[in-house]
Amino acid sequence: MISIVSSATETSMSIKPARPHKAIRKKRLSRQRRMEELSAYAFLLPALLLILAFMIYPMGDSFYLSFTKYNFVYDKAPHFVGLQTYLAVLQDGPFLTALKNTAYFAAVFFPFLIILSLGVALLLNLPLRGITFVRTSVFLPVIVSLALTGVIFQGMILSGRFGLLNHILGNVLGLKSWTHNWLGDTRTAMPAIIAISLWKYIGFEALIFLAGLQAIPETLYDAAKIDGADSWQQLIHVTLPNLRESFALVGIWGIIQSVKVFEQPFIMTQGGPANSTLTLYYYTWINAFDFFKMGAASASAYLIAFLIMIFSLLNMYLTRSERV
Amino acid sequence: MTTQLTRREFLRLASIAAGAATLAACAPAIQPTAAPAATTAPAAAGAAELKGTLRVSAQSWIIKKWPVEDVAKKFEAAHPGVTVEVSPAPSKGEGETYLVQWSQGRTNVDVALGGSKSDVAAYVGKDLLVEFGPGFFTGDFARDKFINAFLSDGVYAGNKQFAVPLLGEVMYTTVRKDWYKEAGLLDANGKPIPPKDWNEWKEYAKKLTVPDKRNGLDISWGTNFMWQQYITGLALTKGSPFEKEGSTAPDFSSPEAEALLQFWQDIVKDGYTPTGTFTDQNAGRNDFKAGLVASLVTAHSRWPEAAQVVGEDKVTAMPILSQGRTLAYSHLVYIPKVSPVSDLAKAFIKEQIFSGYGQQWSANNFGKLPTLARNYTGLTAPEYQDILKAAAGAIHEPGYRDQAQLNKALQVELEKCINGSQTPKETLANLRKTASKLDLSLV
Amino acid sequence: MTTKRGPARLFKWTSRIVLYGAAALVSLAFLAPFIWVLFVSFKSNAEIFQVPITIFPHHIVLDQYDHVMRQMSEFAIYFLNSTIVSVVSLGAVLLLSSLAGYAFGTMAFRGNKFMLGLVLVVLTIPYAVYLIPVFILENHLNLVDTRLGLILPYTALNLPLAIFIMRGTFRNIPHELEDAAQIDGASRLGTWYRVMLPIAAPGVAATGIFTYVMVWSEFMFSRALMLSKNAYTLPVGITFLQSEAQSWNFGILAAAIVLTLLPVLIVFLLLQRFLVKGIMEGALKG
Repeated sequence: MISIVSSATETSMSIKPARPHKAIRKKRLSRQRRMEELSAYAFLLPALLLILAFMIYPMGDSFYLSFTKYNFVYDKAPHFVGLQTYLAVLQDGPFLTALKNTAYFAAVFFPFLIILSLGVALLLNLPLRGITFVRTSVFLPVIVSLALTGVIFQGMILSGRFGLLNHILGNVLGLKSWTHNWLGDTRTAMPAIIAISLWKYIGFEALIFLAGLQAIPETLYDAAKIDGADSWQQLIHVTLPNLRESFALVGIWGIIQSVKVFEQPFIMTQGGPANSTLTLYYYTWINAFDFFKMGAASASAYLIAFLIMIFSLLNMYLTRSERV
Repeated sequence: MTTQLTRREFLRLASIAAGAATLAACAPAIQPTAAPAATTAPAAAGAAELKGTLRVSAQSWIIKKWPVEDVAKKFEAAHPGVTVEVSPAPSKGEGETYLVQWSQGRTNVDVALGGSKSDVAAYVGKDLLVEFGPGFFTGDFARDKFINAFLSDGVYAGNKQFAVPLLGEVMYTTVRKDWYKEAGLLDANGKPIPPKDWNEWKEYAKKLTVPDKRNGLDISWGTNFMWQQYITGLALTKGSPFEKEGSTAPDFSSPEAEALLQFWQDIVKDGYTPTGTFTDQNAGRNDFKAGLVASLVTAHSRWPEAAQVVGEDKVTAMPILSQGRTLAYSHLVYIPKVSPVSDLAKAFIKEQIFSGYGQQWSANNFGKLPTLARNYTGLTAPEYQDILKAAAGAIHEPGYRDQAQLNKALQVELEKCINGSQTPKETLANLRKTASKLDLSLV
Repeated sequence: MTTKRGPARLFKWTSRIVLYGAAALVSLAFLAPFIWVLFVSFKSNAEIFQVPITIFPHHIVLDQYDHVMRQMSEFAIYFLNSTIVSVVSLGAVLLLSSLAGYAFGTMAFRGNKFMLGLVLVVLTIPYAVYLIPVFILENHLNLVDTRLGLILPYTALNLPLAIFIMRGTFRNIPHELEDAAQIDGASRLGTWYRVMLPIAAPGVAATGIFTYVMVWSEFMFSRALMLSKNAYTLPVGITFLQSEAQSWNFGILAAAIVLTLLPVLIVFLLLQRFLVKGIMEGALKG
């Protein structure tokens, strides 16, 4: 997350408290400085209050819970057990399955998301007639909620017998042997969920890439052409290096969506068949709202947080800018 | 085209937001009510005195299968001082929605409709429900007026009734009569002959399967049915779902359990049975309606529903096996202790939930069984007599304290077994291991 | 959109045909699910259960729409709830984040680093963490099952990212403009509102899109915190309809989906140029 802002907005990694020119103002009266401080706090107050009440406080609360054993139905109060909750979660079979599944989702979804979004963006950047229409259709899934996406795909498209996909494969293209119970098979359920997620998110990511593409100065391409670069070489040497900021933004979004997989399995597969689509977020939900094991749910949520943080830092490192 | 927000635009946006915020804040949804002391007074005093707002929630599938909106209007008409608000709720197996709120002393719901014995167990476990004491079961609502098989589903440990039945179901087979006839599986009276045991079922399934066209047998193995299917299978072959006589622990070790799993694995392997219900709970019933399966093992109520699409003369119902006990269960109704209008809720249950109108409507349209004996007048289909008889001898779901965790493990392990990735023996061993870590005492 | 780019000029006729084909295919892939839902919504139940299925409806049946309009009034309520919750949260996020972003981006004050760090940390925590404590908190405040009970957490959850985008935007505005306004005697609030905000518009637009996409689609909080018809939002309502209708009438499900998508679609198409530009400029300059 950190990198979104720094690399996308100001191409700098450090958190600067204020702009350098403020230093000059130190000479001014301290009363004026006090006024500035007060007004800064006034500007910040409403946002910080909300964050405090609905994020920091609950975070602290669940951080404490993550060190307790607490069955909401049968226990009177949380019982402090220290790191045991984390150890129990890390040794829980379904958690490891969920971790594996989430890793699988991320490992396939993320590269496909980046490559396909970039491909679509390159296509949208071409001076073709009617490209605006294509852009609209690519972006359309973004305005549909993920829950609705799940409902549409589960019931009407991927369904084994009444689904559009099998009908097209079997009866239109004549590939009877390709038809499949997509969501009901442990081997294809997760790939199906990945495909649906790509359908939903590519439009948004492609648009961010498109913005980056259109910001690359024409002169860079002209210079490359003078050097005799063909279009492939232009892509490698001009386009991609100049998309770093877009990559940072697209990357961080992709990471969040890779780890935050919940609605898709919740609505389409209930984590099945045989836990093959159980994800970390869903695992947390099940612990909290099906089993009411609040300690374990909080611990697994913090483990997810830890993962997101690692990958965010990695993304930040990979897309870092030379200018600091 | 300029895309910069002008100041005026921003101002407009902000004022809309502020206005809407005020609007939203002034008109919040139903105000939750603080908890009053739980009332234990006998229900339904004089009908005319009833006043207030009754908030009814129904699992979303119920909304169209029991006339909840109609019934709400009837109740309002009978009691001018009463308003009824109906809301859909998440369906079975999606967590117990109200548990957190009720345990904090508040509620947005006065009567909740839906959930079987094991689903409601968590509420009973946390002591959140109003008990239906002896004062409730008087006159027309005396215990002997009910179908006992369904009423007893709401009884929990200590012999206390914490829920009452809205509608009943019996695990049964829905059958395509015309194809059974072709396969020579009807008796002289044109009734399907139930198989004796799993081996005969395999032969049935084989005879009824037409490769690439239809499956002989479909079993509901979705998250909403796996537990029921498993204990039904045990009850049919050994008479009880429990480990041994006198125990209430679930059986994961008997030869009957292994035989059941072997049967399930075989029919899938041999291509007689699809596994679409693993992830799509409705795959079986929809396939049946589309003429893609010849028999469907699940709740009996799929039969009238399918008859509407396929044709009355082509669809009937038969027991899963010719002998043995099946499983009967109820869709329960319960009242939170924190409801300020529990008397009103009880009156609603007596006047509307138990009314012939609603129960018969549901039976005629969707095959759900009435829970009071008197509401069976008017149900003429001959199948009902057999189904009721099956219900009378049926077993019931036990409700375990860690039922949700048991269900989840069962779903995963049985799916692995059914699709052939582990043997029945391994499956049962895994289940025994999981069960040993859970609290499986009865609620 | 149609500005000539360097590499584009190199494409010859054949490659143009390939590219047009690719564009058509991409378009179809993204549109097909929508078209299919539309087709299903016009089919009778019998036709939906026909094997093999048909792509185009043989007879156009409008019963499903009739049914949804007359008997599923709750969908109008879900739609209203979603709209109110999204619009108010969006407005609140834009207002509060542009205020806070301005302070972080342009002012010197003690605790700046600490507060910014705090906002950074909460940004990385998945919001599943907050869900249970928020439920208990809201239950005490009487906010469970009210729209405000969604608006407040939605606003809070989206603030950190928004503040960062806005902070970057304000930092990149040349400070001379601001200084000039202050010399003219404008207050800080006045400067923010009259001078800075109009310049920061692309950042505001980008923040708006990010927030909207999150809020309109949000499922987990809505599913856990809203308990009755008067407060459910569309993403949750549609899952109820799924279990309500899927077992007996796909057509009704499809018709309800079409009807709930239609208004969003119209708004989107009307605002499209503005939205798309907003994202693109925001993603760049933000």
